[in-house]
Amino acid sequence: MVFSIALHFLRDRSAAEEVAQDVFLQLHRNLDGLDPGRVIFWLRKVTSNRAIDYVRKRKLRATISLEDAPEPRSAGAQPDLLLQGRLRSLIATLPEKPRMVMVLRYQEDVMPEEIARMLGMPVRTVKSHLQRSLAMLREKIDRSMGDIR
Amino acid sequence: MGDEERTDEFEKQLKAALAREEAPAWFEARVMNAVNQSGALKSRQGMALPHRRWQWVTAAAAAVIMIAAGNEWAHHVALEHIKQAHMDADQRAAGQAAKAKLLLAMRITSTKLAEIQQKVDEAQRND
Amino acid sequence: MRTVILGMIAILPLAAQEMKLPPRIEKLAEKASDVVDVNLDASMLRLASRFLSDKDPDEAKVKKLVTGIKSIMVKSFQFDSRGEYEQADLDELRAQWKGPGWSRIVGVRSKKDGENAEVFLKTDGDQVTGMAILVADPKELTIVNVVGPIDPEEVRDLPGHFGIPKVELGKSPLHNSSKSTKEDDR
Repeated sequence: MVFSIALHFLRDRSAAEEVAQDVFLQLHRNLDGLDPGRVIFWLRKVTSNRAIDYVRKRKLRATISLEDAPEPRSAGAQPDLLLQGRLRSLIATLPEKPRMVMVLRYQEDVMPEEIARMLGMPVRTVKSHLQRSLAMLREKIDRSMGDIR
Repeated sequence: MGDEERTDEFEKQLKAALAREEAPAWFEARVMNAVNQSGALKSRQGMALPHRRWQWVTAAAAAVIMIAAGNEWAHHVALEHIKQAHMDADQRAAGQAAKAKLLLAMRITSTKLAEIQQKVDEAQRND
Repeated sequence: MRTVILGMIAILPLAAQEMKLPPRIEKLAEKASDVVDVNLDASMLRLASRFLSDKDPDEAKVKKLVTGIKSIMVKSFQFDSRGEYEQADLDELRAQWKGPGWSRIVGVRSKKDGENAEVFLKTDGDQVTGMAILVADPKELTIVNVVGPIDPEEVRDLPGHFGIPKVELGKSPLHNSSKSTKEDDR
């Protein structure tokens, strides 16, 4: 979970491992004071914030345009896999906060209210990020790939 | 396909695109090594921890490693470990509190009995 | 400054030997400037014993002393002025230590200082099965009730401080210290 959130956000395995390791170290230091029922929330929250901080420090915002998106692994890749690959690339072009909102919503299935608490933003902002991001992604996918069935 | 259906389908693709990816096989070892090296197993004063604290920290480290392992079963086991460790910590606190109260009660009782004995001795000397 | 030390309330149903503190005695806490209130039932005593060190001589003695004890109750009230409790309150207490098996083994009274100290033992054949202590000073009242096998002499002779500062309750003429320290249970 932790590694995966970091990976989908950073699109860099090495960076994701570094962030994930930091999160687990922090978990170990804070275990005494953590309510067991809140560990998962805590992990998601800390991972999100650490990953965002990582990007801001390293200025690794992806600027890959759709035209520059990496080729699918094989020419015979299933259309869905191609689409999923493009979606991942497009998500990586989002600004940090909307990007993390998308990862938390669609990887972790976290509801907007909880995302708001994790990222310290109003619920309406979370929903706004979701709506705009979805709209942007769909528009770009539609332009590049036609209608999605 | 209607708009709502298209949205649902699109969100399904998003979920598939963002499906969880497992950490590399050696990631657990990396976390354990980092925990060891961080000095997290020592007290803040830099001294080796007493035995009981070591046990709690080791259990906590194991729990962290399990969570790092990433799969649902490991999470569940890890959370059970954490809950058990918390219960152990709670029980230790309760035990220490009970001990303190017992010692206080014995101290008061002992003091009073000693005072009574002295009064008895004094009364007998005066007789 | 009023200090109230609250112990754990025994939830077990009252056994035949467990004493019932008269409501008027309980209410003395409202008038007292300091209160010590410790209640330890069998499970709390077992828990406490597990945390007593076998390596510390004082704690080891206590551990041995409390083996088999079913409950310990200590209540101590300190008052700023005289006359906060009445003899009738104490008589109600003493009545509980007059039942079968109970005998008063020590009674010391000082008319000059108004101090009164009593020790009661409950026996079953040769076995001691309970002990009660009542120390009534003008500005202090201490009640101890132990259910189970207890040796008063061994308790009296307990050495050391168990890491707790010496308890100086009231101004007993036998106290050499001129300080008046209050016990805080944390």
